[in-house]
Amino acid sequence: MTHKTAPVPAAAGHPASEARLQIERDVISAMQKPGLAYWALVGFCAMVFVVCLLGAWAWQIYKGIGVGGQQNPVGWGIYIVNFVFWVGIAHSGTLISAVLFLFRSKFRASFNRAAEAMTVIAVMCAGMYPLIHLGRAWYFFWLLPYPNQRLLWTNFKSPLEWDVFAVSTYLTISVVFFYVGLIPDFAIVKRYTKGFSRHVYSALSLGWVGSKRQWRNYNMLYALLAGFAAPLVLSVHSVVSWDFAMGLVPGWHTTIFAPYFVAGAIFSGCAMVLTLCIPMRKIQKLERVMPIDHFEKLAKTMLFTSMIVGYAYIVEFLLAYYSGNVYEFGIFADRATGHYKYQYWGMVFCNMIVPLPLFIKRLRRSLAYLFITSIFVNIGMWLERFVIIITSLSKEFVPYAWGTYRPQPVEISITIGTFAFFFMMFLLFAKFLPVVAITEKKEEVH
Amino acid sequence: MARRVISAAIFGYFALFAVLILLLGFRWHTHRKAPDQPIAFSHEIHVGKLNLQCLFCHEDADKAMTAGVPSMKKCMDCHVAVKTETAGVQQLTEYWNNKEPVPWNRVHRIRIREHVHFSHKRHVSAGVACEQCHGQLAAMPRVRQVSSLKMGWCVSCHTENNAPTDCLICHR
Amino acid sequence: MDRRDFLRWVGVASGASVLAGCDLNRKSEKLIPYLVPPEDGLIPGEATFVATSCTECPANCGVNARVRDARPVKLEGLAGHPVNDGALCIRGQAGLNHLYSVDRIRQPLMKDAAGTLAPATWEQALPRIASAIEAGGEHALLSGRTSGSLAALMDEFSARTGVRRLPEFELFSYAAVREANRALFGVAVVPSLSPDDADLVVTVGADVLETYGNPVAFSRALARRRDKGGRFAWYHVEPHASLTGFKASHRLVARPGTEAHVLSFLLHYVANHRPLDARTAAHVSRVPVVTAERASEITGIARESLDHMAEALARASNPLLVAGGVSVAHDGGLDVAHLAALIQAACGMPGRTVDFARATDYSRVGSMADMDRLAQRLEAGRVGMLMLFRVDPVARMSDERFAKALGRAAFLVGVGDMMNATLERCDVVLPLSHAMESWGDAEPVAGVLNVVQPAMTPLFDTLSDGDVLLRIMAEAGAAPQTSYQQYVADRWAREYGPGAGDLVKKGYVDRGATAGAPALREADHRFGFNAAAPAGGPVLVVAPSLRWYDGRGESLELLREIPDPLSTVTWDAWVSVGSETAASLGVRDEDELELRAGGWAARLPVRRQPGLARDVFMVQRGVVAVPAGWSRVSGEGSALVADLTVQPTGRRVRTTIVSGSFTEDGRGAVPGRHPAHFGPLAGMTHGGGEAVHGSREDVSFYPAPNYPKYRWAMAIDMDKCTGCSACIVACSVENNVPMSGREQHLRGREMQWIRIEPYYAPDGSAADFVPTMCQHCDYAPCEPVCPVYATYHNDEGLNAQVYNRCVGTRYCGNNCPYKQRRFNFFDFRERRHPLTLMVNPDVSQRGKGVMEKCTFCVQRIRKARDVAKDEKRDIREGDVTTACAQSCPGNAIVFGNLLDENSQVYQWAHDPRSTRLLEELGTSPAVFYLKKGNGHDA
Repeated sequence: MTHKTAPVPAAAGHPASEARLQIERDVISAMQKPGLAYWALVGFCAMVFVVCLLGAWAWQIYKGIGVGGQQNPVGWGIYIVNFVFWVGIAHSGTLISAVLFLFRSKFRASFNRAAEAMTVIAVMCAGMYPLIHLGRAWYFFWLLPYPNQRLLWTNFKSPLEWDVFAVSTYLTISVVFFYVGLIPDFAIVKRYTKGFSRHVYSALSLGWVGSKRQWRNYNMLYALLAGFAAPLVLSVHSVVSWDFAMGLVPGWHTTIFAPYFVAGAIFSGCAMVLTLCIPMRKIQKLERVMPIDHFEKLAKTMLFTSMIVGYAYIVEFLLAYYSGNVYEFGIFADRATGHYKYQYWGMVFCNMIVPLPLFIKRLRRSLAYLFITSIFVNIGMWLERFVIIITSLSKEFVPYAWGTYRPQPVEISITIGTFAFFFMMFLLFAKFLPVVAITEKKEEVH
Repeated sequence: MARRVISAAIFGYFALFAVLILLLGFRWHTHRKAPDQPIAFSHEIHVGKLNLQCLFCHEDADKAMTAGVPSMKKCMDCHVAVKTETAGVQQLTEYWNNKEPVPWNRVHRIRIREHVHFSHKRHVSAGVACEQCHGQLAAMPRVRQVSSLKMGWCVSCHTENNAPTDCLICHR
Repeated sequence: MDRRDFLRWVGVASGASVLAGCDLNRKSEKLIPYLVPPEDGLIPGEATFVATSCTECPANCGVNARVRDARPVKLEGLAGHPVNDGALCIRGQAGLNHLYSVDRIRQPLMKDAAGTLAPATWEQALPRIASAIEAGGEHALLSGRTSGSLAALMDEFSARTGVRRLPEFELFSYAAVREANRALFGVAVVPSLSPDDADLVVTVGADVLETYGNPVAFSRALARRRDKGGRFAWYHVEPHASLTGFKASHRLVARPGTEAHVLSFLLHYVANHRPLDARTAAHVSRVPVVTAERASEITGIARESLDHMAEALARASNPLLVAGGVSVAHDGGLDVAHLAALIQAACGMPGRTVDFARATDYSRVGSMADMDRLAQRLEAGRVGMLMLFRVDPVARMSDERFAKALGRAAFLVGVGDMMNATLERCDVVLPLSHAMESWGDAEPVAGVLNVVQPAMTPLFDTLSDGDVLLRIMAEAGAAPQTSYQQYVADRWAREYGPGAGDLVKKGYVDRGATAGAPALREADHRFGFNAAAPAGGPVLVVAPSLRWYDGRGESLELLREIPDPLSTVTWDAWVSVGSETAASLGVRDEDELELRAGGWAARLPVRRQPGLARDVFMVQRGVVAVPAGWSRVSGEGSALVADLTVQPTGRRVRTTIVSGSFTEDGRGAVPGRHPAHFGPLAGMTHGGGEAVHGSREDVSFYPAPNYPKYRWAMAIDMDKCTGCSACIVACSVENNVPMSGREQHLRGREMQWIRIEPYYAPDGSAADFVPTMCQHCDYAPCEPVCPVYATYHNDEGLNAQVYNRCVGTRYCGNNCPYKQRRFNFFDFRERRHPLTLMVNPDVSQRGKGVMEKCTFCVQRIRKARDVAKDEKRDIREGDVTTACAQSCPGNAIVFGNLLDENSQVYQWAHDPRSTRLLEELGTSPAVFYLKKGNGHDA
């Protein structure tokens, strides 16, 4: 376990510039030449990605979507579960960088780079799934409203159509936001590198010299983008939630979905940030730039959202019961007691019970404990999406058409594939980009 | 010197593409649109010179979904006597004598024919002239597909003549 | 065949390949013209109809085959036919699958040196048979039930060749019924039933809606009866659980083999309450008296139920009582048949509800006793050549002894259209054409003759039934070479004179009833039922199969795809077990049971069957080889297997059970039944269920749908629907519904567009069978969620699905509350020749990754519009109907334009009984259900 290191206070007698230099060195040193183990890991992830995802997907396209477990009545399987899961993960990125930036909350600076990177990668993962899940993936472009000789248009009434826009918008914004944040740091990194990579970084830094004028415009732009991105935190996942809320499937067709999903998204997002940053902090020796009490703040956010989610679970049940509607209540009774009860109670345990001890300060400040919790929450949130999507479909209105769904090898393999892709990308990020916003960290030092 | 080389290179580069495009265009025109036929039957002569009515040979065009290829008997009714010296007719007679039908090559190919239920009958009885879709056959020694037969092409004509545009009209 | 004919056939054949080029085979880029256009003015791509006869079971319904491009693409009942009047059953609809089956025998086969059947030619096979006949010995010919010209020709055949003709083999031989009728009425026939004017129907074991007699005719008559209104009740007594039982208004479950007690009780009750003539009284006096108490005690039927039934029977002015099926297929069966016949006599049914004049001719059909005799003669080595003609005793009887005995015959000639257990044992196998490829005739009931005429040229090197016999005769020098077509033509000319001409056009001839009602005769039958109380313990009931009758055609994949209406099992074999029994054995669905009886044993997965009595186990013929056994008394094949031992093996077997739930579980899935409620609203009902349709505007925020001319709609009468599943097959054939196969069914991927949903009362006492298909809602939930407009609402109210626009998000499927959308998870189009020909060219075949569903047979609507346009008018009532409605034996489905106030569907939709499914969702479906119980059933 790492020993606790507070950021060097200016009052400690050291000249502030020294501290700034220290941060710079810490972050850059995290980027020194990667070892063999690193490459092995990246290579492994890449291999898994190619075999498990690309390979399986190719097979699925060749044979037909039927290699998955989807059936009547459960038309959507874990592809959509993964889609919602990854979009959720993507959320904390915008939240931490944009919203916390606008609120000027300090602890953001330790995580925002990692969070943004995570966002961009997660959205990529999420974006794959709607395509993977199509029965005729090769016609995905029919979902885009483009002028064509058929004189056909897309159906803007369809929530799936809204998704197309929500996700693509989100990807664009988060990529731009991510890159803009990097520009000054590229300039710094450039100074520490030589040879080819120096050229690359300097190109990426777009001739940044850190002049007063550049800083003024930069801050303006960054604030603007932050303003842009902030509403997305609410909008994107609300739209995703409407994929379900707009349907009349009992268990989907409810008004609390938007806030419920957003909270869940932030919840899972924070968890994923912890899962990624705690090891990174250790491995890349960033104890000084990623102080414990910033983790604690993150833990608090997680605890808070966990309670919102838990509240939603309970409210859902009450609503269903109070509606007196046999279809609605039937679904919820089935969730708790039916074929998928283990998934359901697993979800409740991971998302409601496990985070509760975080009320204790000591646990909040124990990285080990946080790490474990975050893993549980990740699993819990995946299960939540599984429960919402699959159980609702498996017992709809007509009893004759009830059925149960079991994920098939191809689906599981593709799921593993995306995780491999995610970690591969994050590893690359961790070595080749400054994992902490150096310039912002410096601002913390006075 | 160098500049000349460069400009030559650039010119060559584009010239190459120009040639490629021309070749492609040519191939498209001949191959895709006007396939070779086992017998060099000429609409130019039958429609243009002799001006036979379309329905004289394509009897079913106003009765059925498919316009139908004229039966061998139809050909022989005349050619048992007419133009027997020409190579084409001799080929035809040979087929006839061997009781083999002529394996004509389809001119109008639609990629998803499976999904389109087009009725010649309805269009003919609605007063759509054959030329409107099949072009001036009178001027075609060798038939080629003149209309794209793509959906947009159908739909725009339907909308112009406020014919129904319900999908189920063609797709079912 | 002269040159002209030759040319013509070549022409037609090549014409077919043109259209094959245009319509069926996408790869083809050739256009093949006719040599000579067919003289009958056949227009390529236009359907023609051929009136012929169904030969899937001995009922021989009249069939109208729709022919496209020289291939039958759909079978329909022949409208106006005296037997089935336009309707066709599940098996008849599947006749097309039989015709195009991949298991068709494609050329003559002969045992080679190695003893395996190898392809041969007629020129090789026929002389071989001729020489076998030459060789001498007692030759014999065993066939299935024949009638009309074929029967006559067979007599001629045996007369001329000296091949002795054995009594025909039918597993369902009606031996007991015929014997009883012979003894009591002097006519050994199977009378047809006409409940048209009955006010009470009592059926004992006879599954009149499934296999007994002609189920189509019975359903039709029942429908007519219901239309007439007035008091009507139907009691059904059975030891097991059958569709017929659940459709009857009162289902009384008797212990297996005890039906005689019920009937004896009824007989005496009737005798005491109805005036009887002396002779009848004399008969009655000889019948052991059974009191209500005794009957109730022995059969396990509640006393009051028995009393009610007896009273009803005594009161009834025009009752119909019939015993048959499993109730006469045991040692006490003859008693049951006798008692039933006596009650018929006592109540004056003959000539009124029991029609001896319209009897089905089973006079040539033997019984199991005859088969036993054959087995003995075979074992004694006294049989020379044995010709097995369109019959499969080995599989049907599943009798080891008989199978072995067959081997003792000097020479075995098999004649059939599909390979089966019997043909595999033959030395020479001659391939038969399907009825769709042959000339001939068939006699469903006395006085009616169906024409059998070809709708296509034979697919393979096969001959029609008659031609085979004629060729053999010619080969054996017993007769001059002629064609069977000529033979039947001559025969018709002789029988019907000049009228024979339009016989072929009309498809049948009805010379009306001949004999009158027979009178009761003296007979002394010793009743044995009272001797000993039937042994208790587990009993296996072997029931006939709705889908494949006595087991024939169980290899047809199309029938395998269709769920059995009671158990909803599709592909697999299973044993039905009552809920009580299952509980006591501690088994659930898909748990494997081992059943043993005598030498017989089978391991089958359990399917619980509500309403099945304790200790009664049920299997269907065909799905599993059942223990061979027959009643020495009547010669009827036995349907009861006593001293059965049952042992759970502990294994679980994944089984293709389609239904997700036995009960509707308070979901209001049965028309007219409201959803149950939880919590504060418990006990409340939805107004929606009662709403009168089309009145959604006032409760909906959405604009009222605007339909300028038509609003296609359907109405279904739950009283008339018998759950017979004919509609499902009709739909599958009409719409090229994919056959996804067993593996996919196990994963819940069945593809039928229409289905029968069975919902049982929690105690299993009653059941509802709800036919559901796409409801074509005014406000269809599937439509707004499709991102590419692949599904949308057209201005005729159709919920359209454009296959080639669908990208396969499957959201529509999720959002359909009726779960009527079917997804092509794989490319289900791949089939083996000749099954590839079972395609309706008017309907696109769907590729992988697209959603499909019921279209209200839009292709038929388009056709009707095409005709109407030619006549410069709108589509009228009667111009168009869907495949399901057309085929329905119960006349339970009507289809038409809801905007036309004179249309049948409008009438039904505005009937006080009319309701719609899940109305409270506000989807405003276009399918109306007339809920059960229109006051008839008292």
